[in-house]
Amino acid sequence: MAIAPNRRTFLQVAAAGTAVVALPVGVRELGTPPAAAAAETPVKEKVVTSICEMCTSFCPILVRVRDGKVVRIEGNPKEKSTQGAICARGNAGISLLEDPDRIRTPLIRVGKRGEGKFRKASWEEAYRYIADRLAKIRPEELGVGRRPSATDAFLLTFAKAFGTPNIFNHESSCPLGRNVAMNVTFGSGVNVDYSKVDYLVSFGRNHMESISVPQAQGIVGSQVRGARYVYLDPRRSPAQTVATTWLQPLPGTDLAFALAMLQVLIADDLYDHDFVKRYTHGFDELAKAVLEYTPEWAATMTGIPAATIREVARDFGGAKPRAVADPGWFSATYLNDFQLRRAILAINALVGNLEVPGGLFFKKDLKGYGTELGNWKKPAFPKVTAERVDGAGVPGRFPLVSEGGLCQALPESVLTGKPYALKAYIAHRFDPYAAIPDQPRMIEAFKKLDLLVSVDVYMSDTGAYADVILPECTYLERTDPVTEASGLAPKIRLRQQAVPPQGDARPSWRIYKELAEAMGLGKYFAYKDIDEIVAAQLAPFGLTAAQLAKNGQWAPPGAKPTYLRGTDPTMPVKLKTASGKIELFSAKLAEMGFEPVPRYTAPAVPPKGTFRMIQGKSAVHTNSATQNVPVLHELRPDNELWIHPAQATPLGIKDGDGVIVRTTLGEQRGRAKVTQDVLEGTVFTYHGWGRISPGLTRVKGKGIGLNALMPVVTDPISGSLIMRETFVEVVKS
Amino acid sequence: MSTLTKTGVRHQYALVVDTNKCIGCESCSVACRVENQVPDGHWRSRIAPPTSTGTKAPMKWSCMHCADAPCVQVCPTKATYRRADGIVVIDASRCVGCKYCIVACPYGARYFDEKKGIPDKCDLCVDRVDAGLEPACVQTCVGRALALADLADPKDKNAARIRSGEAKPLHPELGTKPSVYYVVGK
Repeated sequence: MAIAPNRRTFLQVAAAGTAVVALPVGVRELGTPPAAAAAETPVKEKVVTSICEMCTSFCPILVRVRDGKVVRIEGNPKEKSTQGAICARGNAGISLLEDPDRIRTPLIRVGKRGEGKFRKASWEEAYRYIADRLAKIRPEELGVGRRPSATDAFLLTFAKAFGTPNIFNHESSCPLGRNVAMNVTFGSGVNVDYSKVDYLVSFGRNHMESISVPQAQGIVGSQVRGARYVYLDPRRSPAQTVATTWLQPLPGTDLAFALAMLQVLIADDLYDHDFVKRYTHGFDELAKAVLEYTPEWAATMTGIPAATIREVARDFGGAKPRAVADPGWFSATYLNDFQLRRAILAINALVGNLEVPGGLFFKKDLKGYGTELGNWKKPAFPKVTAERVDGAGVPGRFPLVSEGGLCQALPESVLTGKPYALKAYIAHRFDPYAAIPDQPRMIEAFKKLDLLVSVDVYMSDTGAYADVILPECTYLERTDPVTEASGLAPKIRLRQQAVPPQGDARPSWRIYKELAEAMGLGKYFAYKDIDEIVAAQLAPFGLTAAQLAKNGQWAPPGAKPTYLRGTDPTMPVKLKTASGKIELFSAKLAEMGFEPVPRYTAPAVPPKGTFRMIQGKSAVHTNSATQNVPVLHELRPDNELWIHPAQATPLGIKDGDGVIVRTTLGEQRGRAKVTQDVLEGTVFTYHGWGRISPGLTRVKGKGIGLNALMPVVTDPISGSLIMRETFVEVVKS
Repeated sequence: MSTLTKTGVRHQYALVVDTNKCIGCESCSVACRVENQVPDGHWRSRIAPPTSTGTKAPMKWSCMHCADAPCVQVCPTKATYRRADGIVVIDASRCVGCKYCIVACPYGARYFDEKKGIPDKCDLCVDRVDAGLEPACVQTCVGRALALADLADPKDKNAARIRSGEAKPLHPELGTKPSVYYVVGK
């Protein structure tokens, strides 16, 4: 007879990392004794603590395994900021794991590039194929791209051992503008203490669809205790149902709203004088610049009444220091986005919310506690003399951009040979075709490469053009290096293998080690396996993997949430900017020839007969990564073109009608959603569709692909892509 | 109406959905789908999206575990019945697959599971609940909008929200006395 554990014992068992727990499966109070008796046979269930990878929030999870199969993924209840919750994508991890569309064996192309014809190959053959071609190019002619992840160390070690500076991530298509603005203004990234904020203004950062569970939960929790939440977005989204106020600015005019908030905070003397004096640089220049940006002026730009703007600014100032203007996330938006981020950061500086509860904070990492994760030993990398093709970190080009670079530089380099041509590219769980605008040009570049390798769980769109596809196993099938997950206190987490890899899929630590060995670069990967790496990482803490796995996460003894100005608001805070202070005025920007304090530039007006096209994330998908995952695909199989009835009616478009969306680059077909939930003159779609890979059997050919319609436009300051300055024609199909 | 379980504790279960805290993310839909191995193309629980009227929040929608359940009344073999603790379940061994219950349910909560040959639906994760755990939807909820209430427990805070009238059933005019209660409006 099984004894059903109560909730408490379940949690204790769950906390035991990989302990075995007996759960009654199929027990029903049926009144039919034979059935009930049969069902009471206990089934052994293993609970593995791990980290989700359905997006890059990397929430802590518990993976329930029964008879060698994952049966359920739950949030790890030990993590206070998520309380055991995970989002729809996290819950769907098992659907990715078991998807028949996954690549489970290495593939080598047999047809023409893009035909999607491949043959199965052994790993040794695939490694040899890649090694032979890489042997023919100069080190800097290799580009590697990835989404930041716990497995970064392996691809990056490989790239650096090979000797290329051309290492990319996806960030210039997402948060790069914000990141650069934070570096310029605060010296490094700042985070929001959501759960304790009393007044939050979000400039289109949609926490309820671009979900980070701790952030969404923090905001919902703050709402329950009566916090104010002002949300700006030209489109209605689930964030409006949580927000206390929804404002619908004209697209691209958020900067006017932010500047007017600055103007009111200064004119009405609502700013924190002592904070500004102590911690900021360039207040006078800022005050002078925003003088003209009154709410009345901003009303003419944004379409939001001046009284509303003034009221928000005053209430915001009144809530200081627990008032936050959200620095945002996706910032590859408008040409004025960089100055918007700067203005938002200045708003925060004026209310003195840095390092107090309910404000902005710097991550309190292990380094700050005088310790660091260990690493496996490797020799020094060869010295790189070549400049990066994208100009990241290069004076006169993009000096403010660091190692992740500008992912959109790939086709430019390949097709123009300027400054030199990349000849090989390894895309690691990153799909440049899906992620980067001007897809026709990307295909031209793919065709010109000597070698294109895709390391992925699916045959992505880029994979369909690749010479070699290497099947990486999913996050449920591999242990990764320990990762730091620090917030207000330092913390580390471990992703643990829950089940063996399916088919011939392999983990990154093995793929790049074996590829390096095939190329005579094995000395950089002098470890036996992942367990040895994890042990080396944990050695400085005297911690074993089993001890870390027990709760799935670990913090140094005595570590607790820390606000540097929590008890003493005059406590010195050293910032990593040139002045050591928050730079409201940036000499660096002035030197580069850009506005040193935020000033307004208006977005272009759509030419007659066209619409501004804007995009956003669906709550059940991650960029272009999950549209083919069976369960998530079922929830949202395609996107629609949201169009206001005032525009749809004259075009003869009714709700559900087929439409063609067109620019000079191309056209896409989809369905119209005629709705007042989007502002007149603007059309909206969720992004991540328009997929072309024959390996993505469910999503291929569905929905509207935005990157087929947009040109590559790059922000000259941050290197970020600009993806909301495209005007489209819409006709009924 | 309450029952005495093996462990000697009385229960009267209900589900509270606080729409003020629901962000419409469908986490509950997928947790349910996976936990209960619901076949492709079917869902035991979904989110009804807010409409453009601005008055409606996203709404979790699943079996209402009615006290006067039409599905129980129309079942010719008593395969569908309401447990003493309020959970409406299906005894697959008695079900003949006539689908009367699918038609009878005014909330559209049932689907036909071709593999099992029965009209299936939310059972409030009865196995988990009997094991002292929360239903999968409650456990995974991002906004912490869902809660399992025990009306037999006078100290249960979630049950208090039902007793006070703060949480109300959806479409009470149907007269089925649902056990899922919604908190609507701030």
